[in-house]
Amino acid sequence: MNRVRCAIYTRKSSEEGLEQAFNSLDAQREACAAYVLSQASEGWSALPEIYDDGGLSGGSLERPALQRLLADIAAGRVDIIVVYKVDRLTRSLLDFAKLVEVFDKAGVSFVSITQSFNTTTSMGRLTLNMLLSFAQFEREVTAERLRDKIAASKAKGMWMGGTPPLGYQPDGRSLAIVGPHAEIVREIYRRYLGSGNVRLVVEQLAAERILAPVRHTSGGRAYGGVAFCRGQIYSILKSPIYIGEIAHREVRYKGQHQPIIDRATWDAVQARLDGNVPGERRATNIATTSLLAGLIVDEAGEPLVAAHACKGKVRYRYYVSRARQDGDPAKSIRLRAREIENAVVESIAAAFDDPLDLIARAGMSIAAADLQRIFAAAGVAAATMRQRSTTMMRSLVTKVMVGAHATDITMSSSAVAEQLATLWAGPKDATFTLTLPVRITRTGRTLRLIQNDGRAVAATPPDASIIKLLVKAHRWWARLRQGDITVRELAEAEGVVKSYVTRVTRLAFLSPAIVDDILAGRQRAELDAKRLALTADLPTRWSEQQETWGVTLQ
Amino acid sequence: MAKLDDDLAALATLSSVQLQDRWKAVTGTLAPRISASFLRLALGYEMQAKALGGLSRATQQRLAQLAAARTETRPAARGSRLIREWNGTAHVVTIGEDGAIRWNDRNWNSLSEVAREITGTRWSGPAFFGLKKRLAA
Repeated sequence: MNRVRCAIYTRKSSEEGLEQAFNSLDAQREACAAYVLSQASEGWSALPEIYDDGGLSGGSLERPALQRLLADIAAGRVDIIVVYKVDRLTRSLLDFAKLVEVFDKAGVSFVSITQSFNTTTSMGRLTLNMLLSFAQFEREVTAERLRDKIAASKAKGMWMGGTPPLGYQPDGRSLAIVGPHAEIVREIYRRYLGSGNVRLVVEQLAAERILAPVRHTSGGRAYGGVAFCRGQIYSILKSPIYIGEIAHREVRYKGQHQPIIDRATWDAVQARLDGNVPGERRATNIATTSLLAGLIVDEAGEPLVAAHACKGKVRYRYYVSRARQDGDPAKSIRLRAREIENAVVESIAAAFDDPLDLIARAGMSIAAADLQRIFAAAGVAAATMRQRSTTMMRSLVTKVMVGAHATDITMSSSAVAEQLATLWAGPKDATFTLTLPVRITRTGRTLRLIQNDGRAVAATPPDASIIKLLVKAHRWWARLRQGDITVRELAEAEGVVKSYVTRVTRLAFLSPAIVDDILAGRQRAELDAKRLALTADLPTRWSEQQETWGVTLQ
Repeated sequence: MAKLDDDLAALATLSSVQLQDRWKAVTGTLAPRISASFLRLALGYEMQAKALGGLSRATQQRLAQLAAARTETRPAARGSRLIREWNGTAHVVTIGEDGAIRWNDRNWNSLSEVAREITGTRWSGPAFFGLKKRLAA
């Protein structure tokens, strides 16, 4: 049987009675020893060391015997700590949590003999966990209280500690101006307003041996005595402390300390600082990111790398074979980045324009109830893609293969499902391929992408004005054909001149093929409403009409 | 065809009264009260329509719809897909590049046929699939 080494810890707060031959500490230890003895069948045995803290409060962990016990625990000399009551260890939940952490780390349990608190059993550990939750709660409430207090204090303009800004020293809950230091701060502001350049300010100060003054931390450590760096100057220039304000997160409050800089100067400096933000990511940078970097390969599967050439300020981006980089241009490809990127972006966006087809290709199944949602999501996805979203491109596309005959885009099915706001039940790494009618060809010395022909030319929408005339012609002819009205009477009824009725009504005698062409928007470009209505004489024969205006001769 | 050609050529020589007689013979109705040259054109159209076929049913319907201006029907564009939800099921009809109407792995003659198959009642196919819309008054 394993020997279980039990350490008995006893404590008593008051000195009273400790002088007795058999005091409370002895009584505690005796009870504990008896308990340990009763567990002898489990292999328990008490250690000879005595951990007694007489006359010490449970409110603090700074107790010699306890510290000795913790040291022994850390050394692995103890398996179980036995106490009379839990509060002998500590009265503070926070400290208790700390102790338990130490115990856990060392694999030590503890037993309270009169309160049946025994972390060697599951019930004991449950109780312990409950206690720890309360401890955690107490910690968080305390933290909240502190945060609130700090916020409230700052709202009152108090200085809440930390390294005081240059020019000040802590003065209770406020700051006192240190004359010579404040003069340095004013000098820095003056110089920045003069040059508008922090780097120059730093150089001037260093050249004139104006150093950051030596100051001391509350612990007495000295700092300063060296030249200012740019970061320091920036923080001095940006600090609202110098106009007598205290900042708490985004809010600034009127401070209790005196300002060093007047507000007009400070505002002028802020405006100047905002105006020249270094390293800003501008739209031009974003637009020229290589969207397909890392995704694009040639027909042999060799990656094409993003490269660029600069001519003045213009950057020409390409995707090139490694071979070209390595110096063998004969076998290499160099594609204009913008061309291939546009083709890929547009084809993916077009795929999202037609979500049902995309779903079929990706091998997804959908429920009718989801259709509305899928269409909405697909619309958003198509729009995002058209804005050249790099993140979307990288999540959707796993490979773009540019070939001599076609370009294949390998898409992740699960990513497509995610974009369409549906669930993907298939394997996580499933892919499918979109094939672009785009191939590479050599024109002159560079390789170009050529859009394969075979796309239907978009039909022009039907010409509304001709159709209007046509409808009018048929209506008027229907009236005239009944034989109860003359052209003059019809013109009067319609409020137009007689010749207009004649000219328009003639359009009812256009050949059916031309009428079909007009309705379908297929008519020849030269056949417009004006021409039709003004045509002096319409041939009677349909074949003649079609020779003049027809698309298809019958 | 030669007869139609001859008849059309002969129109030019006919007098006003002869034209009215001819109209009556061709259409079986009294001639409208229009000028001789206008009647010549109309008669030519009637003769050709009789011999070669006039406006197709679809074109006549289209013109009638445009004239009434109460509804509008978009033609089903080639290569498009029409979706209609019916009793919780999404039915997808594909219009082929050749204009063929495909649904349930089969070609159909008209959208109305498909609509009837889905619903069991007669529906206007274009209306059922959302191609026919009421125009705002």
